[in-house]
Amino acid sequence: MSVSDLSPRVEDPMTTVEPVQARLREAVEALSAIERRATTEGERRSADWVAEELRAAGAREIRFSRYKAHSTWAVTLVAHSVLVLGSFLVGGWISRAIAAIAAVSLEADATGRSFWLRKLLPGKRVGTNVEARIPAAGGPRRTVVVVAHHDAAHNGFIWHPRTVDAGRRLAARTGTTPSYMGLPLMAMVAIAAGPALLQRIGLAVLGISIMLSVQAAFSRTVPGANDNATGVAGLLELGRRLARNPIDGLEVILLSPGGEEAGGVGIAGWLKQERANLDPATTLFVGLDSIGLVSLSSRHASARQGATARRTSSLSSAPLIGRGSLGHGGWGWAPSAILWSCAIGASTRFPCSPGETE
Amino acid sequence: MIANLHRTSDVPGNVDWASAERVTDLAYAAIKQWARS
Repeated sequence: MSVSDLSPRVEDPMTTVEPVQARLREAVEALSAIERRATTEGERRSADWVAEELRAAGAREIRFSRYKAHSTWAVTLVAHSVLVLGSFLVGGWISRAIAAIAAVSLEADATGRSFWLRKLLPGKRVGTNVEARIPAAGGPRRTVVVVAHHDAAHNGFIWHPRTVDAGRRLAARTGTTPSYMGLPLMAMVAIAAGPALLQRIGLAVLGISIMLSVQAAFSRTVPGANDNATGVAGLLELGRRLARNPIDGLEVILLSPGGEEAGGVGIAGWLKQERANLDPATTLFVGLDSIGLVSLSSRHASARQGATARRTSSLSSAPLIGRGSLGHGGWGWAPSAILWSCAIGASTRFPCSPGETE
Repeated sequence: MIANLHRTSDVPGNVDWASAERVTDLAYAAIKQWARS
């Protein structure tokens, strides 16, 4: 589907002097009002809204693309867990082997490298990505892909503030955001390689994971104002600036995928189609995710986030396309970490304010 | 980690607009630097 035949809308002159924060707020409020879980009608409506706003911002070649997936990450986690639990009825080396294979498969799924088990499972639906382009003046020498997903997550007990806070503390110690697949993965490794006691503990963890996943899958879709209406608002603002002030030789792709909260499945589908058209040497990805933070003002958080950004700063460049890592474990979160760290004053290799250089 | 992460309390009233603006400005600066480097 294409809406490229739509001509750019002339903006109200008043909006040109409107403060940036007012525009961001307006976009976030509009998007938060749409219930937009991955692969649902709401996600399609939010894609329509983003497309219209991209057009208003002055972007061209607005296109929708489809991906096929489940509406939640819970499906793949439950499937892997049930596979391991079922195999344990057989016992012996077969159950250990299946647990090992399931662990490798789940890790590949969580990092976006392979969705093979998802592909076998029924219940997939069609989701919607939307993209727009700002052609380079004088022909493209470089490309930037600005990414902000427009779908919203669902709630669940696993997102209890205490659970999230435990993850935050772990991230502060290690500099790495823990994956929601971490515990089930460890359980599968324990079942594959551990003694009988560890295997029993692993089985119990998988059982609990299944219950929590099912509960989460049937929970409400959240408004997603920060995660990630703020990112989309930032994407629109960047589109507005880059359309008005094109940078010589820079082609801009403004991409708002769906399906991020289902495991990065929307952008995985987009890259499947577009990867061959992107040169890693001349392409930069910039991810905007949850940019309206409210809890990173402490010195402790600032220092830790800065450390995270320094370790991950190289992940913001396009060569990671070549590595094929698409999910939370790859560049999906890394650019956001850099932007967050700058927002709270930490240093990175990127400038932390307009006009600033390294 | 993010306040209100995947909670029904992730509403516009809990967004830090100054943070959102600053990150947007940073992204714009990073893009300009990338284009000119």
